[in-house]
Amino acid sequence: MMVRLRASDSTPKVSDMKQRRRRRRRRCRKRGDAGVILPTELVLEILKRASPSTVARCAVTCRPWLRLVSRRSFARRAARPRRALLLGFFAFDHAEDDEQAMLPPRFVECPGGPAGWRCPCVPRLDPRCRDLDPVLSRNGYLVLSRAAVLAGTPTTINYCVCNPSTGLCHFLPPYRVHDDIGFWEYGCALLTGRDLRSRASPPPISSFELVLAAIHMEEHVLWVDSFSSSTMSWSPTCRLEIPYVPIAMVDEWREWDFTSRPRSRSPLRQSWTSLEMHPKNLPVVDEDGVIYWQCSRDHGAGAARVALALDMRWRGHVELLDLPGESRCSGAYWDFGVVLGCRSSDGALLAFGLAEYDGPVLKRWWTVKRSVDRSIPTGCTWHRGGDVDLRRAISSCCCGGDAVDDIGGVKLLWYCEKSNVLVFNTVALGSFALDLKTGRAEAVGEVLRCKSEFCARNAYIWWRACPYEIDCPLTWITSPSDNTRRVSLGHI
Amino acid sequence: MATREAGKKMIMLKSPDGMEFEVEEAVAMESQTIRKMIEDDCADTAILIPNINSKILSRVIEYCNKHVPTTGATGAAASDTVAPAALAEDLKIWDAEFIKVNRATRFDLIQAASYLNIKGLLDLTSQTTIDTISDNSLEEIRSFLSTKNDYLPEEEQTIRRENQWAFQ
Repeated sequence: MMVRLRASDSTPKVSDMKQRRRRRRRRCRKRGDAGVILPTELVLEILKRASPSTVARCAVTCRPWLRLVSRRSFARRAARPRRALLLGFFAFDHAEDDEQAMLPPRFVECPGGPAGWRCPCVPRLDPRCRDLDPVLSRNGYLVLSRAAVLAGTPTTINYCVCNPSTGLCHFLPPYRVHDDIGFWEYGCALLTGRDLRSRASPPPISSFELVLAAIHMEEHVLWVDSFSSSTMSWSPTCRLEIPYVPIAMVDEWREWDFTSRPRSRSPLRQSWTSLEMHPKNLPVVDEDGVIYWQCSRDHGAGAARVALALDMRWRGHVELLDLPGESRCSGAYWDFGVVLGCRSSDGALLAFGLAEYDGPVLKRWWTVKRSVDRSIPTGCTWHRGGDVDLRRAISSCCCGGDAVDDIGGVKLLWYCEKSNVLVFNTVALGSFALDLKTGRAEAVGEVLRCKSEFCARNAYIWWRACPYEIDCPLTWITSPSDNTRRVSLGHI
Repeated sequence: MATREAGKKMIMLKSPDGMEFEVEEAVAMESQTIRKMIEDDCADTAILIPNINSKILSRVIEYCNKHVPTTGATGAAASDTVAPAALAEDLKIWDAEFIKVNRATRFDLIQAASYLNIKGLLDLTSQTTIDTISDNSLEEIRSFLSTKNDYLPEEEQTIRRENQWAFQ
């Protein structure tokens, strides 16, 4: 019944073992502690309550502690009670008089941040990032890129993966663009250690993988390249066939239901369609590390929205999914009109679109995964979530409850999945962060400076800014195994 | 006090160094471990608490005595006269005074709280420990937790540089 906490010291039979223990005890006494060393589970119990920066500092004191906090289970457990934090936005503006010149990147803080824990640090960018464009951010990392187009030499893209909070900055070796594909056609996504946990051999939690994908229309395949932080090199290109799934006629007033339609999985080449990726619309990564890029399909009768899903496990797997959407889709990237997201609570794929009734109305759809083995939710139903009247959401916060007359054109910008916030821009009143849980909108500062009708509606400039949110700084703690690997690679 | 004890069931707690403590059942039940023993009817005469010496055990009992929910006649009377908020404030001050102990005692208290499964005490001791650590330098953390720096100097520099955000 009664369990003793620590087994009493049995008399050791080997004399040198005894000696060793005595020596150890003497050393302890010399250091002046009372010999109380907490068991591992109590150390974890204490660390669970610590702020991220304290945990990181403790990890730096010695190896066993670093091993302890680098455990996935610890990061997960410690991360759970902490709230996600939309810190703000990185904005890269053009100079006023010269469109080619860039101003230093600005960080626009999100006002009225949650009262929970504070970010352990102030995000800042390496000065060398000034000449790059923001691509996306994920789990504290920010990806920037700039293509180098020079006559006579092959076009390359320079990528930079940095963590503005920790100051970590990796300038990746230049990526050489394939001959048949333009540098603007590449879709980019970042997978961090947390997204890679369902891999057969999960890499360290502080690792990342940058995935580039481009559609090769003549061969009807997807070309995928990836850069892994564990090897610090680009992997050889992998070619994946894109299966073709016909799109059912959709009744706008009913739920999207694709379950009944025949599911042929013929290759794309059998149909006369063109498929175009829109990398400027940010991709979404779900909890299994499946990446969804927004694309448009044109089969002669007009464009339709689809998502290209890429599962990097099992040597890669691609699917096309139909996306819902009520507004017209011209097929051009700037009025794509749909923002994708992933709900962190259950991993459901979310889609947000706009509809114009008596003013702009936010439409929401969600879909859950169908199977566990191949986690891409194909053949699923898009369920309708509640609509949000954007004018009412704005008027309840910034105009003292008075109705807002006209907010001009609206452009949905980003969905911040950790904070469950949707950011949109209006021509008349600037940018707002809409908390989807409470339905309240907060005005965010001047993320997008350009307020012309064209920029707001056609989104000429919105991809020059990027939201930045974090929820678990513990995953930033670099473990010694990462270091040794990096060091040994330097010698090769 | 005598009238309170009259109607209550008493439990005998024994520390391994032979000391015996008679406590109210409600007070002892603050510990989930003891509660389970009582509910399983393993606690007829006395409960031996292994590994917790009498000094620590008396402190733990002191904590439980203070934190046992005030129910019954005397408890109702107390909450009538004193506002609950003031009571909580009182308890906080008492906790802060209670935890002013040296490092070894605090670690013993953590171990005791964990073994006896007293959530409030575990929260209090762990939180105080982490608050002590959080403002300290690396050397102070090391000496407080009696860990030893086993990094090579260049290794430590690298790790410190990469985790610089935690030192701002």
